[in-house]
Amino acid sequence: MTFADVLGYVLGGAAIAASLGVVLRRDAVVAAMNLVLAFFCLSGVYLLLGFPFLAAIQVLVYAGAIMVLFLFVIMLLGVSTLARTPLSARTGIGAVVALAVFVRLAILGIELGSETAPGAVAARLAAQRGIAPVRESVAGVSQLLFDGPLVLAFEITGVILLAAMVGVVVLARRDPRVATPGDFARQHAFDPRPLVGGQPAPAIPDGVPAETPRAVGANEPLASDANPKNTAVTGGVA
Amino acid sequence: MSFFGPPVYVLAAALFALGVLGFTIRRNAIVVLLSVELMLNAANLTFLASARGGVNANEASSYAIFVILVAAAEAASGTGARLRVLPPEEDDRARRRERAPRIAGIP
Repeated sequence: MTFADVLGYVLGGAAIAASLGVVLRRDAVVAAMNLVLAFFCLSGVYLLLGFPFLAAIQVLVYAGAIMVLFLFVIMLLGVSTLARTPLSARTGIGAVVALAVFVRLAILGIELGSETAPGAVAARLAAQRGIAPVRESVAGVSQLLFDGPLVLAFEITGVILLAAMVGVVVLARRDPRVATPGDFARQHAFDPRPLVGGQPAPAIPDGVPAETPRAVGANEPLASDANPKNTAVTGGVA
Repeated sequence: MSFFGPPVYVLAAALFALGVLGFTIRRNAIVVLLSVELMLNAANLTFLASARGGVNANEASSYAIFVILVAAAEAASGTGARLRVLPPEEDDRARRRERAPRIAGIP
């Protein structure tokens, strides 16, 4: 058992512990940070496997870009609305399914790992053809991706990313004609006051926390709203 | 026992199973997406482990990069779709806003 093996076991155990944190911790932010930790551990495993470029990509793209995107959305939606969502009622079924998947995949993996040492078949083929195994290098990867058989696939991935980007812009776009609650209260000092019932809304005195005003056209009482104060202003609707 | 034999595949299997577990039992859409990322990473790990010491390590890296790119697209579109879904009371408010007539003078 070499030092690399020990390091691999440590990193693998840490990755499993962090993944357990992703699945079982209730707080979405904690889950995301646990996933970042798992990605770092996996990056170390990639390094041990002999893929330094992919280890760097894992940290830069996964732990950097993708997880920042997730954290951004969590913060945008509000930590409080997401924080304490309970586990679903399917916990038992999920545990059974996950256990079955794990047992089956582990059996497959042990067969695969013990029948042939990783890469043994490929190495034998390479020896038969008299080629030395090529180690991973940035030059080699870029040669394949930009000037090799994978050019078309790479371009298609670019189109997929573009489609995802356009789709997200369309999905997340808000109707600009609709004011959201809170838009006016934060801007009283700079903007013309909003019309409430055809009259300018009263200014908010200094030191008084602004009540979140109702949005335009939302003056009627809501079914979910038991506060009678907001129902007073109903006139002036065009 | 060397880590780079069966144990690395068992590690990948465990990560994938944890992803399946999270995908099934969590109700938070964001955490469900995180679980999908976990599964994609487990697949990548299996791929790279079996390509270790092979003829051309660059090919394995290229395919793993494709998996990462697809994961990025999935993360972007998934979080975008989550932004579109409002919680029930916000949804009620937004629907009422669309239905109600607008006040003159306010765009």
